[in-house]
Amino acid sequence: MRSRGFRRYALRFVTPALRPGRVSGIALDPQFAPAGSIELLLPPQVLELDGASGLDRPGGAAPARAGCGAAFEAACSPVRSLAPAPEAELGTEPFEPLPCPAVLRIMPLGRPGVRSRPLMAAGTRVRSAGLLAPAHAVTDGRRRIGLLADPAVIDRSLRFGRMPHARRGIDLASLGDGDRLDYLREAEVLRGVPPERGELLAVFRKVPVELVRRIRFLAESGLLLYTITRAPGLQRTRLHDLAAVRNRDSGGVHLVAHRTRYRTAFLA
Amino acid sequence: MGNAGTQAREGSGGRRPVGYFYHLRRDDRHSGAILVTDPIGVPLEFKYTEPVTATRLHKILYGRTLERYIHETLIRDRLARELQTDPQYFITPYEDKEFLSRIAGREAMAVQRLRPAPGENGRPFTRVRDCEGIVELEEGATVRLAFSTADEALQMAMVAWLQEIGRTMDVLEPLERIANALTALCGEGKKGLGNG
Repeated sequence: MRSRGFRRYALRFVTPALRPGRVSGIALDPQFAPAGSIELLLPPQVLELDGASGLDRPGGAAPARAGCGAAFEAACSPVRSLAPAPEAELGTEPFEPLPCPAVLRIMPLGRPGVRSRPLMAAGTRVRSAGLLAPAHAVTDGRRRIGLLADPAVIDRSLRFGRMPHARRGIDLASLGDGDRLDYLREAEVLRGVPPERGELLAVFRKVPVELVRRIRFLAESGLLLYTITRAPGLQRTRLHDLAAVRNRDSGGVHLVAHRTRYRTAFLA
Repeated sequence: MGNAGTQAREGSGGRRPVGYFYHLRRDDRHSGAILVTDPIGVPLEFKYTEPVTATRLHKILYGRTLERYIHETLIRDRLARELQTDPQYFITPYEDKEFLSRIAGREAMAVQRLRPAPGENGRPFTRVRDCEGIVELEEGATVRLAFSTADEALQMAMVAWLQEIGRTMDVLEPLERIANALTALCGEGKKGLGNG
C-alpha cells in the first residue's frame, strides 16, 4: 500500500509507524528515484526528507522495495526492509553508507504541488527539502545592475556664454549689383579699399557689433566666428549687416559693418 | 534689412527668451542640454546632463522604450526641472520631432533648415501636415518645423514668434553651439567651450 503523498517523491520511510523521534530508515522508490537523485550534503544532524506529510499516518509505512533502503539500512539501523528486491530491478545505484545522523537531501523530481513539512526525529532533524529548498537569492536589479537613473545636471551658463557664435553668410547670388556696390563703398569709406579693388566675400546679417568681443572670419569655410560680451541691463542693441571684403592688392580681408543697414533689437 | 530711416523696432513682442533643447547621441552615450538665449542669441542659461550610457543589459531590459525613456524622462524632464528662466517656446532639432512635447510647460517646435529651390516664391507659412509646416523667415531663409501641439491657433502663434526672432537672430545657430558644447563636455573633443 502506497501513500498518495509519497507517490511524488523518491523517499519513503520504511518503518511501519514512523513518528517523530523514530526515524529508523528510508527507502527509495525506484520509479521516482533515478540514480543520482539523492545527495549527501552537509554534516549537520539533519535528515531532510521529501513527502513527510504522510509520516503521521498511523501505520503509514509504505511497502518499499529494498535496495536503496537496504543500502541505507546499514547506516541507520535498525531498519526493516519490508520487501527486498534485487538491486538490478530497482535500476538505481547502491548508496554509500550514510553516517547517521547526516543530511540527506532528496531532490525534487519535477512534480510540483507537493507539500512537505519538517519532522523532528530522535537525534535527527527532518526537514522538508526539494521544492522547498532554500530560495535563490533575489537580486535587486536597480542597485545591482544599475537601471538608468536620473543623470546629474550641470550648470555652465557663464562658460557657455563665452563660446563663439558661428554664422554663415547669405547667398551672394541673391544680392543685386546695387547691394554689392553698396557694401564695397562702405569698405572704401571705412577701410580705404577702392571698390574696383575690393572683392565681396560674404555678407552676414544681424550681427550685434556693439556686443562683439572677438570676431574672426574664416575665408575658407565662409564662417564668421564671434564672441559676445555680456552686458547686463542693456536695453537694446543694433544688429548690423557685416560684409567681408578682400583687398585684391594686399590680400587682406576686412570686416565692414554697414553703417546704415541695421536694425535695433530690444533685449529687455 | 532696412535702412536706418526705415529701421523697425524688432523684438518688441519677442522679448521672452528663446529656449533650445538638444539631445546628443554618441553610440550608446546620451547627454542633453537646455539653452536659453535672449532675442539675439546671447546665452542666458545653459544646463546639461552628465552622459548616460546605455549598457547591453539596459537595451535588453528597456527594449524599444530605451530611446524614448532616455530622451524624455532622463534628459528632457530632468533638465526642465532645473530650468530657471522662462522661455517663450523651445526649439529642438527636427530629427527629434517624434519626441516633441512640452518642455517645462512650454510648447516646443522641431526645426530644420531648408534650401528652397531657386526662384521659388515661398509663402510665409505653408502647412504640410496637421502638426508640420514650412515657414519662410527673412532673407529667403526657409525652415521646416513640427509642432508639439495640434492647436492651430497656437501653431500660428508659434510661427509668428519664430518669424519675429528670425529677424534678430539665426534661429538655428544656437543648436550648433549646443552640439559643439556637448561634444566638448563629453570628452569627444577639446574645442568648443574652451574657445573664446
